[in-house]
Amino acid sequence: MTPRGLLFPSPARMARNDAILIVSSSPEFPSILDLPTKPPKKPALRSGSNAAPIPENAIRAFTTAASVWRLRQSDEGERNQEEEPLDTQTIQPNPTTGAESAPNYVIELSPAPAPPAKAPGVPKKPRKAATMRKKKEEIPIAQAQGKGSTVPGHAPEAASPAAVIGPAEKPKRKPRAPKASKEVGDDVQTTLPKGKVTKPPTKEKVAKTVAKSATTEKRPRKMVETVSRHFAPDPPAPKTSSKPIVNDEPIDLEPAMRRRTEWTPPPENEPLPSQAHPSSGVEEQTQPADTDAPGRDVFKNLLDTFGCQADNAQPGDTTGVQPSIDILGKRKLIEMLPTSANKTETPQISPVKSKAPKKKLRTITDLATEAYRVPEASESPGPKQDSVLDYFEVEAEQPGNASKGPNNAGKAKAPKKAAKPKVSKKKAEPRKQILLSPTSALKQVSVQDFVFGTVSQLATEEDPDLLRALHEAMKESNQIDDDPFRASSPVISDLAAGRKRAGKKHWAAGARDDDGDLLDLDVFDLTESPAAPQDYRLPKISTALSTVDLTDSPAVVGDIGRTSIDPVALASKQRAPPPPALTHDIEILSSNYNTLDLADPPQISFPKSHFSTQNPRVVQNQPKPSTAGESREVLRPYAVVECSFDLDFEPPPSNQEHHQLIVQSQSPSNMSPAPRAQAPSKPKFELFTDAQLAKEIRSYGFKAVKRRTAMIALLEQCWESKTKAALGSTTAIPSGLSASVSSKPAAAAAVPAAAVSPSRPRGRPRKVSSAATVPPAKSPTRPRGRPKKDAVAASPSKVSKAKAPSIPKPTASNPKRRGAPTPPLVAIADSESDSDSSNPFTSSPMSTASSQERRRMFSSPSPDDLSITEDTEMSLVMSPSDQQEALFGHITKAVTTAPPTTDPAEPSWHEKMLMYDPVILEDLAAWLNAGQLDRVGFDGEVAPTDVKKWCESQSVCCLWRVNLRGKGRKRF
Amino acid sequence: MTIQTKPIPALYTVYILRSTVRHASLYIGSTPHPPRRLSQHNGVSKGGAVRTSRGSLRPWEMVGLVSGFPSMVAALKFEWALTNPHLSMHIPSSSRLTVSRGTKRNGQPRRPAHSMGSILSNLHLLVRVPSFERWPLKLHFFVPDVLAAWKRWCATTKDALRPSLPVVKDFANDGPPSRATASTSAAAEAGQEDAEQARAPWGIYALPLDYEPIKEYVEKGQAIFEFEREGNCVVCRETIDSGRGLHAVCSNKDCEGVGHLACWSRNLLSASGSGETGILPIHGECPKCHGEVRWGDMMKELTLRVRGGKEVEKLLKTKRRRVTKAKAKAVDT
Repeated sequence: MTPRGLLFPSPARMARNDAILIVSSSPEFPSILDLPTKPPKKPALRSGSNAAPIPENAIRAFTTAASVWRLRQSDEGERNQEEEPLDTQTIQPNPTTGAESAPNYVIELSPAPAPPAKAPGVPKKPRKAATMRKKKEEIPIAQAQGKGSTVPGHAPEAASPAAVIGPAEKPKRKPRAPKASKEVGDDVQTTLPKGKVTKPPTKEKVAKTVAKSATTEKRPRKMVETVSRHFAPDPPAPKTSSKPIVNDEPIDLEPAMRRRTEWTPPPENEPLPSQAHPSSGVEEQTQPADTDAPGRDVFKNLLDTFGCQADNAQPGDTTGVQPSIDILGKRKLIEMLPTSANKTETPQISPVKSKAPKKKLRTITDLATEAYRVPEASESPGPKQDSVLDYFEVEAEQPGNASKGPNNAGKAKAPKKAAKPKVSKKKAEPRKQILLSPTSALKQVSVQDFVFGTVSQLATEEDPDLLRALHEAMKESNQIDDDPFRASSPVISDLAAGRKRAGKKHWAAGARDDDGDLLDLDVFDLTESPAAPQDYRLPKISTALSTVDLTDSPAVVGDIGRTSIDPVALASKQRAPPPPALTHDIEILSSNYNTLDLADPPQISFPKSHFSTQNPRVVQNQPKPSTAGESREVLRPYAVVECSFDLDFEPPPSNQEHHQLIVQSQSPSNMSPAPRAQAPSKPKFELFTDAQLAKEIRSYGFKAVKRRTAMIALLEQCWESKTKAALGSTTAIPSGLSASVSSKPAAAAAVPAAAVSPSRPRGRPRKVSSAATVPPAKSPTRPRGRPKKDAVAASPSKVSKAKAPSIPKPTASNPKRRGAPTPPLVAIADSESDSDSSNPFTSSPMSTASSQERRRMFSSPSPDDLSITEDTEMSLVMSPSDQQEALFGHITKAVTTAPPTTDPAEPSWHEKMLMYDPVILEDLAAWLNAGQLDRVGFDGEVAPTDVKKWCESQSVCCLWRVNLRGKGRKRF
Repeated sequence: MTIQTKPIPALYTVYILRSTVRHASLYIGSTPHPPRRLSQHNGVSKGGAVRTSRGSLRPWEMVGLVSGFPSMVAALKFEWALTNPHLSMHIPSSSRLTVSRGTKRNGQPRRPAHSMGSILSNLHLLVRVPSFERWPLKLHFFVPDVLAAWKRWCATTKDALRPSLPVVKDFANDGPPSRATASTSAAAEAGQEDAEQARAPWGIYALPLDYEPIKEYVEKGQAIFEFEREGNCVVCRETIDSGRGLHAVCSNKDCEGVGHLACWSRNLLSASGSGETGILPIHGECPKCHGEVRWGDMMKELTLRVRGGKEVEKLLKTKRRRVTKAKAKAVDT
């Protein structure tokens, strides 16, 4: 145990070693067996070590080698030797590795350094010597030998041979060591103090001295090693006991010592106390860890890893420490020195390092964040310092920096930053400005303007002013929309309602309470009362209002009609609200404004439920829209209003680039007519590239769809629904009473209309039923937001709404077709409703009419909707069109009137069919086209697919000539 | 046509397999030989489906099947449609009962899990679908609870099966199989045979695997055409050109009405009201004996006669042997 302990450089490592030692302690014998084989290795090592005297001893040992005791002793001796050499030599390569590996990997580690260093010697001799020593040692015990014999005589020798031998015998040694340590334990304890003392003072030399003193064994060794690696205090070792040894080996040890000097400074104090504790090796090991010094070391080390000042510190330490080191409390001295030295030096060095990387690396993020960066020049000195003290100093400095920082940042951030630095200081990263607490960080983020864009966009738009202008413009535009949500407190209904903007009114219109009733809205039948009061006062919010609702859906009640539109609002309206496009527009807006919107939760989270709930009892006298159609009518006025207002404005193409949008936002007036003209023409999605398709789909808020066909189908549906909605709204205008409501804010009116429009599948199928976060209301056609599974949790209120009003839905839980197998049982219409209910995506109750469509929309996977087969299926399923029906009639006639065969082996087509023979479609089509159709008066040709439809309509078993694998059929 | 034509198989079925251990485990397959196929599923013989190879689910049982497929292709089509009711193009989208949710990794729609209810409902749907409705199919149920589920479904759905579609139950402890609803003469024959045997095989083991049930019919046809006593077409009254063309024979025992294939079909179709627009008759009345005829049976006989020389020979041969054996036994006793 002790010898190994010696090797350990740091407490942490020691802990590992302990465990290892325990495990390894038992296997001694195998090592013995190895002895004969190993000798060849040893000689080389010996020679390297230059230990002439050892070989002599070794020979003696050989004679006695048979006994286990001898072996153990020899092992002990070897260990001592090994330890010494290891300390000296191994330290150079890697103190840490050597120490750690020593128990397990001793062989590997030691041999590398040892063999070259020590000249080849007699292989067996060292072992013999070791055994001899052990024998001798047994009686006299480690103390005498360690101090006297081993140290003086062998120390030089031992070091060399040990290194050589060590590797070969290492396995043996490890197990043996503990035993030896036990035996020696008492003796060792006495010696320990010396070792410990030596370690701290002379980092380099200490190790050697320790090793020599290690002859005393366990504790001294451990202590020595640990100490020695970190701090190689030469003087202490000599003082303690093994001065002579120290003198011999110091040369080798020095380099290793340097390395450890950094680590060990604290241990210096410990050695003395450790001496006081003469107990088992384990205790010793633990002790150092407990002591302050080791702890510091560890901490330092950890810190060092993060720091980049190693170079500076080391030179300073070495130079300063060695001269200054005295035998006594070396470690303290050492620590103090290095820190001071570091401080002085570090500032100089640090600036260089820090600056260089910054200058070199110029990333986009750097560019982007440059403005917000706090000048670090003053701070630079701090980081380099290793010691904890340094960090504290840095902290002290930081406050100043922090104060500076805000100024630099320039923006309103300053106050927050100031707060941040304080927090961050504790964490002790000097350079990095501030670690904000989550809350403070969030606060800052809320204030912060974010610019989102691709790298190229960000890079190209360097002009901060432009970006800022964009931001502001967007902000302004958004404010109108956003306010309703933010400000929305359900309570508002009667009071401030008048004050609220039109935008809020949208939401109010759609707001529902838990029961699915409209909140405050007075349903207003324009048809009956053409002259709608411009002051549209919403009734008080029903008591039923749930708090939840309040948060999510601002039930803004106010004068809907009352909108005084300021230019900004106008602009915003123009962009967003046109009723038909409404949904689209809103979506588009949101998509385009994502950057801005992110900050604004309200926009993003439109409670789907508001719009979706179909069966809400209208609070007041108005007809309760049980079905979409009814509700639609009721709502229509709004739509009308919007239409009149916004007619000219078409939603900007979703594709529009963000930048463009922003620009537009700045000058809203520009937008109107052009896009509209474009809208009607259906884009040919087939011509799009996959990337474009994906983009389009994204613009609609759908998740990426892998298959191209599916993408196209989806887009087409989206487009159709979009256009339909638009058309519907426009058409509604004429029918609707446009005059009355015109004054109303378009936005408010638009929303209900959009929601109502049956054609659109409004929400995108969400895995989570919660309509909450997504702004389904905005875009009935497209579910823009991604279905968030978490959404439910996020906005409980919405969920509650959605669930409450409608059918009990399996919300998010099982997207699986829970009802799938069963639904078939129900009539189709029913099944659909079931599916809807079961469908997690459709959280809100849908009108029966729209449900089908929705389902189709949402169940993109379902073959019917998007798959390629759609066409064919349609044909099969659907009653053939008149034309097709005529064709079928002709085909039937042609088939049945064809002359019967005279050869039973070759029946006519009709006979084949009658005999249930599978018909080959191509052949039949070819036959029909080869004059048969003409014969029956059909001018034209028939395609095999048409023939297939005909066959299937007639229960005729038909086949393609080629099977699905492209091979001909062999049997029928 | 390079296509090699065969007579309509004596039996081709699409079956519903259910684990006797776990009733939720279902499998749909098709086979011309249900007992053999069942033994494969149960691991008794080689060749079972992987899906049914799990030991914990064995033994399997065929709880029901659809028989009467006029060809292997037809059976496979039906099997696929029944297995993939969410995809099958034979099902009009307006009446599709099973809708898939989600997609598999390859982008294909995911198949909803089968349940007995879903299978039966889709079976009910498929036998009514234009692509299959005129096929000479027949439904068999071998387990009471499945039949009960079927009846339940039939009660709930407003779409009725065509009355001519035979549905047969044959339960284990039922003794002689009884007809749940209308049954064909062929089925009747099979049932009678079963009943005659002391320990009548039931279920799939009672199904006729060969042409034995229509042996007499085949013999009659053979006799008629062998001796060229077709006479005139029962429909158009024109003389039948023996050996030229396809001529169907009435399936009723004592009737030797022969007619042109087209004439028969036209007659039957017009009788059923589908007239000009139809191609395939389902059943009808023999213009000669006014007995019920089923187009499937007639075509089976016709194809057997026209194309199935081997089968006919085998069928008739075996009979002779039997007769001889029986006679020998009788003699011995």
